[in-house]
Amino acid sequence: MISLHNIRTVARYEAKTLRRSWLFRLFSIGALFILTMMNIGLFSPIGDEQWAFLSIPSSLPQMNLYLLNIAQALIIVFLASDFLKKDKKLDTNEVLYTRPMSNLEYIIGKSWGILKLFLGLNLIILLITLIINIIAKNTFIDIGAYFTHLLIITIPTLIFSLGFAYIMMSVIRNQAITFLLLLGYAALDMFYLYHRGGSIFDYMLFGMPVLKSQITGYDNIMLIASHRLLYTSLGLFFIFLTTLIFKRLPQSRPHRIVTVVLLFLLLGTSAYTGYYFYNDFNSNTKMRSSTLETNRIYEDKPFLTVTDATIELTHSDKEISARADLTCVNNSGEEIGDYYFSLNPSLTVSNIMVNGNDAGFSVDNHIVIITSGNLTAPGEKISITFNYSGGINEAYSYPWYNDNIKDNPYRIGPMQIKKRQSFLRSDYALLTSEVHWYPVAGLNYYPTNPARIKIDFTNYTLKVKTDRSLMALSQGNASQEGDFTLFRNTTPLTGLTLIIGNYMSDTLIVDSVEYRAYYYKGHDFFKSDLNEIGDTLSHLVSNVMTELVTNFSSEYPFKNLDLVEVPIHFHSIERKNTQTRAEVQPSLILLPERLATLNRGDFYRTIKRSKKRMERNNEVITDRELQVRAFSSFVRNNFISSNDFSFRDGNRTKVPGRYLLGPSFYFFKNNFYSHSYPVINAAFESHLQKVASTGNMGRFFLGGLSENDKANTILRETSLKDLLATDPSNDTLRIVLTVKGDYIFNLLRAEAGIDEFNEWFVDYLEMNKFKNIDINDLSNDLEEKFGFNMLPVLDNWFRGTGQPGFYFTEIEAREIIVDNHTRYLVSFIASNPEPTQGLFNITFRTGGRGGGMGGGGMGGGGVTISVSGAGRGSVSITGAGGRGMQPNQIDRIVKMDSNQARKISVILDAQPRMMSINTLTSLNNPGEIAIPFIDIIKDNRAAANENDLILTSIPRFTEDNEIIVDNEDPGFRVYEQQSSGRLKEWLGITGNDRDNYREMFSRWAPEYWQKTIQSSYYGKYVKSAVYTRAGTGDRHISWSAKIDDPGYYDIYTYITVRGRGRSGGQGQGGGQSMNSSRESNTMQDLHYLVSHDDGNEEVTVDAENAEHGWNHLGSYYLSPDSAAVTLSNLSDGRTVRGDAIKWVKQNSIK
Amino acid sequence: MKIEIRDLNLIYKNGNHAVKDINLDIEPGMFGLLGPNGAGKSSLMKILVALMKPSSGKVLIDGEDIQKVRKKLRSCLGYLPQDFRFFSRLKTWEFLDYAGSLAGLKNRRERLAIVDDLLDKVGLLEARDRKANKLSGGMKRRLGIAQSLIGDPRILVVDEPTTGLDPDERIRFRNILSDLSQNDIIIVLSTHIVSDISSTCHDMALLNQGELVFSGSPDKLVKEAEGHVYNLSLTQFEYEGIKDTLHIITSIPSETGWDVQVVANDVSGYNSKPIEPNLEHAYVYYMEHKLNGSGIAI
Repeated sequence: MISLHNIRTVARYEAKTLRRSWLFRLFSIGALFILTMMNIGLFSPIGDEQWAFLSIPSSLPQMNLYLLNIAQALIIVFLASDFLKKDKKLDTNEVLYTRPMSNLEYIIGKSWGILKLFLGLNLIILLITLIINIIAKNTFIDIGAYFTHLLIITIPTLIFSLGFAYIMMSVIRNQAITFLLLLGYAALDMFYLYHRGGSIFDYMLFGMPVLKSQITGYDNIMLIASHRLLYTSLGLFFIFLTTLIFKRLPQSRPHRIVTVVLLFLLLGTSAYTGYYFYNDFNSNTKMRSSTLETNRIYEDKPFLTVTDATIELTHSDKEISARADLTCVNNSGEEIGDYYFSLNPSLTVSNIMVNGNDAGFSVDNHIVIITSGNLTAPGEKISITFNYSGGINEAYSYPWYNDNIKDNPYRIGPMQIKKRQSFLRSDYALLTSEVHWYPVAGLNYYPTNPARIKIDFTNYTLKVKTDRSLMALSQGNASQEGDFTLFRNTTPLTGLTLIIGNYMSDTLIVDSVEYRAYYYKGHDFFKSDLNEIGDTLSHLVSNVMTELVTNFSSEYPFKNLDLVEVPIHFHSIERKNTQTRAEVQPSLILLPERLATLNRGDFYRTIKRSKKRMERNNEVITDRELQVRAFSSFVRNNFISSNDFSFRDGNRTKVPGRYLLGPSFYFFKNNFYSHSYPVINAAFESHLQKVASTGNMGRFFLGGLSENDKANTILRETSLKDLLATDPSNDTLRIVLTVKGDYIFNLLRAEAGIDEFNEWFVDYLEMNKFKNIDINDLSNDLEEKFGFNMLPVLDNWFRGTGQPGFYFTEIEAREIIVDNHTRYLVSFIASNPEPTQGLFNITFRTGGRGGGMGGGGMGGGGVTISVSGAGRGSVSITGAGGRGMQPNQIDRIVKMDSNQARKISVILDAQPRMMSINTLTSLNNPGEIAIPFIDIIKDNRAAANENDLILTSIPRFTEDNEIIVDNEDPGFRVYEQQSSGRLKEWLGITGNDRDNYREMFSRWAPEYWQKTIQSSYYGKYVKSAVYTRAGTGDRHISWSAKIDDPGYYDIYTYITVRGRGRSGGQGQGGGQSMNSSRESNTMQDLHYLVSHDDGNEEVTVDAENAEHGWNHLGSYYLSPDSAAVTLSNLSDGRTVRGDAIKWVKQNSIK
Repeated sequence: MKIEIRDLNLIYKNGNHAVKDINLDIEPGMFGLLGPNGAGKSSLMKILVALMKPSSGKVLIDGEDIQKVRKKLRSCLGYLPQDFRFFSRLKTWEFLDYAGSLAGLKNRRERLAIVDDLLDKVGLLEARDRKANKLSGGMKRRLGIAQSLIGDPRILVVDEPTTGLDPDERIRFRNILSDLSQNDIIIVLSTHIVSDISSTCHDMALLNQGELVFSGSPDKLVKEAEGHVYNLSLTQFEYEGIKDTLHIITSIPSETGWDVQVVANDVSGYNSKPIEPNLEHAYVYYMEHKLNGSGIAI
């Protein structure tokens, strides 16, 4: 009935016409050129060979089609509406319209013509990609993905764009408005809609994740299919609808009837697929909120503690059925009537027995409530057996999580990856303890206190039956028992993980720990890349483990360490009650397939690059040594420390690594709990598991607030207890807990002595391995050992907001002689005039230590971070700012009472280069102050006394005859015009955050006065300044002071200068950060306008030759009135910075 | 095959009554549709080729309403619109191939042979591979004619086909049509050039302001003008006197003044001689004299 001949004819000639149009030609040539270049640049041996892409070969066609798709979604709008515009001018087409074809055939033909052409272009680009794919090293070719991605990405987008353009053009009949609407929708998708409603509006797949794993394929093919079918059917619906409203008399009634029937079918398909897709998104959202609500009901219930668990599980198809025999004890301290367990809500419990008898139970969402009928006394043991089966609901496991891809992206290049928390398929399963695939006596989240955690150390035994072709993996030693694989553990675990897949494995035994690697066939590319280190591997692994054991002062607690390759989609969610991520399980690390997203996972490229660098530098190095370095660097950068950071609100934020081994040395083996301070374990974990080998990234780029500073700013306003009640963000919680953890351990060390405390605490942790320790017991033990009661401190730590404030004066370093040896005496006065007691620790960088890497612990110094050097530095694993179990760089911790000043003296063996003071929790901003020592005074007679001296009075911060106005003071004002446009304002694009401290960008200094912070700036507690781009003098700042006594005044301005920071003199934070050179040399002439009795005088200061600190502007007679100094942005330099002005009254009137 | 037009009306949205109560039968052969610009010729033709729906009335082909059998109509139709432009990015032969393919010529080889044949027929074979925007006005017209002929239409509707053609081309075109009209097909030719009709059509209709004012053979029209066409030999003075009052068809300067052909009812008082009218005379007589009722009396 429908003539294919006619359709093909129209299509052929429409395509021909389109192909000859300039727009299409330019577009296709441009696309071919750009994408070919991109392919060569990203994937080929000539280019960068990006590992994240090459490791997931389906990403090559996806990346190409993704980019091309965005471009063609826009260009097709032009072409389609242009075509219809022509059709509106009937004369051109009349000769065609009088031909015997139906409107349906004509529109289909036209559409097919356009589609054909674009598909051709896509195929050519895919062909180019395929060629590069073949040339590329270390990758596979996923030929299937070339077709499926075309089907998923390109075709639905093209059909929808075409249909949408047709219908708009037919209805609106105005090309300009149609353009505006269509391009508007495209832009809306890219900037606004792509992440909303689970990406349901994202017709061009700008944001929706469709990455394909080499292990499990597309993460949810039904969902992807429904989304794409939605847009395909909607597009076809529009196309067919166009045939009905098309301006040509229809040919025949049957065709119209066919069209109408098709329209209904298509509309039905769109509605169904749209509903299916949205329902999935919505049910996840609902599951999260119902989990939260249910948890709210049960969070105060007493829970049992599970000591032993034997789970017998059968996996078939997309389900598991299991029997869990739990041995529990009542450790809650009270009698328990009903027992509460969490179990994944997609699992259905069929039967429960308590102590061998059937027990009644009910299920509320995911909470299984067992009514025992008896009261269980504290300390009493019971056994409970669960029989259950079903699937796994992933959304359940992280109920607080917002799975919006904009807020929480997970990407390779620009392509989003769907975050999956578990898999349960017929050919693959990954069940971590977080999804509660077995009954857990506790909740996954406590809504009123998100930092609370309940940890059971349980002896697990697992029996698994699955398809014979698949391998089951779990913690412990595996043995075969008939159809079942049996896993026995010799140590208690905080959780059990089950993985089923088609794995291959390798084993290495080093120092009685069994290291096992599980990977998919062909994914062991690393073996050939690291083929020369085979015989040294044991040695390397041993070194790493020894280093970890030394740094954490704890043995590795398990008999094995399994590295398991899991699908790229697996991505845990940050938790609020622990920094341990689900990628790391007790004795198990779940690594992304082919190490795709890991730092330095591409050994081949790392080695190739080092080799090139070595050759350039004429260094001779063996392949073996290169491989050793690549391996060490990989291990270090993923399992020991992690340098990832994200850029948020103009400041860098550290992103904690997902694969750190730290939890094995604390979280998986120790647990402190407290009913009064239910955040204690998280704070302890933050401190004890911290490995900050590469310094504080946040401060490498100077001027913004460090994470500590941000945390202290928050804690100034609200206590930890109140903060927890507001359900803070993960970032906030993490930085606050870190500060809190650091404080408490610094305090303990200050009270007990650094070494004394460490020695005792290490033993304490080992003694209480796999036990839950009440914080009261810890306090008692501490008091017994050191005579110090930590509970009163904890109370203020949890509920208080007061902070001490420190300033440091009379800082000097002397070279002295002690017992005929040259020693160095550093002394200074520390003052805390605030009513709250506090702590600070001191770290010295001495000449003897050398090397930039020593700076790991310096934090605030912003010492150069060389990532490549991280593998070599001997002191790379240290506690930053006195953090971690072995804060071996801390030279002194000083406890300061309220309203106290102390003279502090430290004797050093080597010449100090710099002193870093970390004020932990204080009013100081930045809280870490770096003070370099330029001049060392030779003083053979000075006494070598290291005792602190408490002063009778607190030294004044300013002298009597001085008036100082800092940029934080009320006398400071900023004059400038509103620089952002009205439209930007409406859209909220101001890019202007002058009231928060931001990193300095001297090359792109803002066109307004931006606040910035650095320990070399002037300030009592807050050492800040404002800076702007140098210009014509249209922006000003002024400092005004009220003069009470008339007379001559010397007026000074505070300038921070590169490399000339002095610790002497007033020493008011006169320290100089190494990296301030980044911005200070961008200043040249500074133009001040000084107001005095005789008018105003312009004073120009040459910042390049200025002194560090106070620079004299001149002496002027001032009457009792307001005095003022103004600074404009007029300068030949790059930036202008204003900090503080000082008026000093002269003693005698001139 | 026969076209019957019954009570046909077309009223545009703006109220313009383009076609008024037209009743007409068209038999195989050449049928001429004559009328001044704006008479409704093109509108009538668009209804004939089912590009437009009439407001009322019917067009029947062999007794069937074309609005109900559009497919049948389109399958046997060749149409050349008045304002014919075509896709500038297609080559001459491609365009014909496109039209031919849609006209039902499915076999590619045969179709291409027909395309070349037609190109040859309209003298465009040399411009076979030229793109439309490289063709002259006349060539474009010829290409239009060629596309209307492709697929051996049983009904050929050509709207002002000879506009822009030079005399040679016009003659060639007329010959093509004449040849075709021998094959029992209906050719509807609309024009405002009288000679196109006089030399080819056996039947014709005259439209004025949407109304059918005459239908019949050209001879019949000519007959109506008999006795109303004169040849006058005028002095310069006389010529000046009638120049604005009489419908002059030709005026040739002579030794004594002017030799003038006029359409008039009576030219007594002048040196006149009645002459045999042709279609052009008849058309002028009909349009200016009979319809507008301008009496030609001196």
